[in-house]
Amino acid sequence: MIVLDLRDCMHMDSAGLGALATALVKAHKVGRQLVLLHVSGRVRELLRITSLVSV
Amino acid sequence: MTTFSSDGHRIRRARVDDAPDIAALFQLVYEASSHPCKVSEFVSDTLLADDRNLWLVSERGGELTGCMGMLLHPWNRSWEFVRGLTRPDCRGGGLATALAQHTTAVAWESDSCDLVIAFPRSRTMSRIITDAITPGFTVVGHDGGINIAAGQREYHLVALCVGHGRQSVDRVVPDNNQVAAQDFVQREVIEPLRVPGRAGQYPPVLIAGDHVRHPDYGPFTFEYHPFCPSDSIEITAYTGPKSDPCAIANDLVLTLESFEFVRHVRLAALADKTAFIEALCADGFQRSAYLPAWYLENGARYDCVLLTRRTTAEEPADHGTRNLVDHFSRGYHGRRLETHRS
Repeated sequence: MIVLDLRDCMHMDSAGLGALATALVKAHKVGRQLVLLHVSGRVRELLRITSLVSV
Repeated sequence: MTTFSSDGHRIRRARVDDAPDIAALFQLVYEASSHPCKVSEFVSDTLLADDRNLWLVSERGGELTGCMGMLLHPWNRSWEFVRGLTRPDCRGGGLATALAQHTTAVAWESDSCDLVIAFPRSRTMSRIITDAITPGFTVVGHDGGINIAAGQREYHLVALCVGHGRQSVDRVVPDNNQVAAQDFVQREVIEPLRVPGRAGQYPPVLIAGDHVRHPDYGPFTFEYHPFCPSDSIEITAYTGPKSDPCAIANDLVLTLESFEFVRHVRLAALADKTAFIEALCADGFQRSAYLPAWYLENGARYDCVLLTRRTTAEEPADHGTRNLVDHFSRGYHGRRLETHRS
């Protein structure tokens, strides 16, 4: 399991979303789960909009 | 709904209880290849229960013999051919043509259709929609090789049919625009499509696409599914504050670097944004298709250029479409060289 603590992340732009999507695929390729901790409401909403939260 | 027959086939709207038979049809045709429609629940939940989807099926002797599906894109009032197949033992008798003819007819009769787009993967399907159905489509380019089928990336053509719906289409032609006026675009796209236009000012929008508007989402919005085999992304809008097209193009290229696994990028740029288009072409994008009337704003429709970039050495397969792919690649590329010389 790979844990990413987003405690200090209040905003995420397109490049940040891309980096997160890349981390997700990398984790998947090595058979690991990517777990996000302390996701702010704003970032959570972005993940929902981009459908990244459901994968 | 009116039903039609072709070679003894009855064509009708699909019902939710057709889902198992549709899935079985996909299972029969796709066998070992993956395809979401092989799963009955996917067909029933995602396709038939969604009113943006239009599915027709053909049957003979109580058995399903084919199906064809279109998807409505409300943001620009377009319908897209998304899936279609016929049972192998029913091919060669005009069934696919009848399905395509009837499906487009239903779309044009709806209140929400200004244009229909299709991405034929084979020369056969291309000929059906351009020559065998009425009104016929016009091939306007290719998709740069988005899709993966049976593990192999492949080109699909891009074909359009514009302005046969209930509402007239108010197409705005970019004023003093070299791309739209290019001989190749006029000869291969505008004249065959027979879509009239009036000269006019374009809105400041750079990129046309279906996107969620949210103050935190940007500066580029996108459609990306990390585990989709195509490894493709569509950029659907620019929402940032910059106005310099070269700076925005540079930002886009930098943003794409963070999507490490993306192998194919596409976006529809408004046709008058020539500096933006040129900047992206200098960074490896190519003009793949010219899309008249693709962007809709306040009732007027504006031309777009489909830009694609593939970052894989693998050359996509084609199914008899190579001549057309090369023809459009050369034709649109010619514009770029002319622009550089001027």
